[in-house]
Amino acid sequence: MTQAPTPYRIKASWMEACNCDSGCHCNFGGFPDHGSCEALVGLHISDGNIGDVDLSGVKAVLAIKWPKAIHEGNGNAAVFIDESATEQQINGLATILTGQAGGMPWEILATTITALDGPILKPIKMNVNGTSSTFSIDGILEAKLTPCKNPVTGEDNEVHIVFPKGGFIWSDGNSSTTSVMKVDHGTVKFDHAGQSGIFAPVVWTNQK
Amino acid sequence: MAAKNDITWQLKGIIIGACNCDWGCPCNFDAPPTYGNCNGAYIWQIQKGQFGDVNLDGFGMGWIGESPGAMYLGHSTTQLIIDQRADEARRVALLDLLSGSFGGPFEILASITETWLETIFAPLNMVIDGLNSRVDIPGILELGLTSIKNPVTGEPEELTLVKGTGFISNNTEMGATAVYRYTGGFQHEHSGKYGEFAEFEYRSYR
Repeated sequence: MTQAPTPYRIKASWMEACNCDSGCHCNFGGFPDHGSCEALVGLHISDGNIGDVDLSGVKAVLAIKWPKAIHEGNGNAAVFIDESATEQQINGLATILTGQAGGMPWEILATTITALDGPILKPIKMNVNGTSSTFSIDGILEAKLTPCKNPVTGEDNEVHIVFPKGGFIWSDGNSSTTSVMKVDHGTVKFDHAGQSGIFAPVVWTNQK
Repeated sequence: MAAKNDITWQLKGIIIGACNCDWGCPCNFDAPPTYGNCNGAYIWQIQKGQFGDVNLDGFGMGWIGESPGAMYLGHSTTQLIIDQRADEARRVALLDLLSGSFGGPFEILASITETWLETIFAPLNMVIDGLNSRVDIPGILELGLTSIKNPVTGEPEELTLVKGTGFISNNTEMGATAVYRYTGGFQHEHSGKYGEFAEFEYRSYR
């Protein structure tokens, strides 16, 4: 097939929670703190489209387990999309997240996934609020980000990891921790409250 | 000794840091150190500095420490290094600052220190060049920074930590050490671990 992929451009809020210590060591050389990478990601598209399909307002959640570092592959992923999305929106977002439409980071991330369940349509609750963001799907998963705290004074610390020339997934990650972080969906099952959380704006496209 | 509000001071310059944590250093994110303890060095190169009426432009100083747990939990052992080119008035000023009695980040670093080793007066040979900076103190310290490398492409990563509430620095280039070897009052061999480079600006409380 030589047909050019449908052009897309999306702006979204990325809310990640994983099993690494706060800061997430994968940002600094690629290898997780505790051997494996187990992550929940909430995605709220504030503005975007793929071809003629408007993706604004679409919500999705990814739950993924990689047995080692992400770039070493063999990921086991479940992709949830909010059931309010139209069939065209579901197909469009699935095309992006599975790497079929090209563009970073998905054309790379998709190659690290060997088992994919989804897209699964569920009601997704999501509150986009920086390092206090939350998302959940009743009976399946829940994540609550909470700001880093100064261990002495207890005050919030705002700590950004910035890739000045552009990062792989995001370029300015507001680092946090989590008060809740769990999923129970078939073989994707973990619970890592108190570890790393990151809130970041993302802009993804397969166009120049 | 004069109290911390008695002397007005300000310092501006470059700080180079290294420790035994993995790249990124979880302490930056209020998480425990990678290996449970903290062995590390801060070296300051003062570009513009004034402590009372003592001019400190161009002088260097160092803080080498070991903490059994996270730094904020205290019980640290500290060794100070003072640029041996400093005359008596400057030595007193630099030691006053590092004692923590005059505030700034030095007050916090001093507050976690339980044991002070004998201060070293030595030449600090510094090359200031971002994540290619080096500090050499003959026979005592070799500290050379380098970039973190992307694990897939091998390309150097440009990474900045922006932390408005940071007390040592607020805008920090995060890297690794090509070499971090200390043979003063401690024996540190943590080459290849975390390293950082930043501009700093500190001042007295008034």
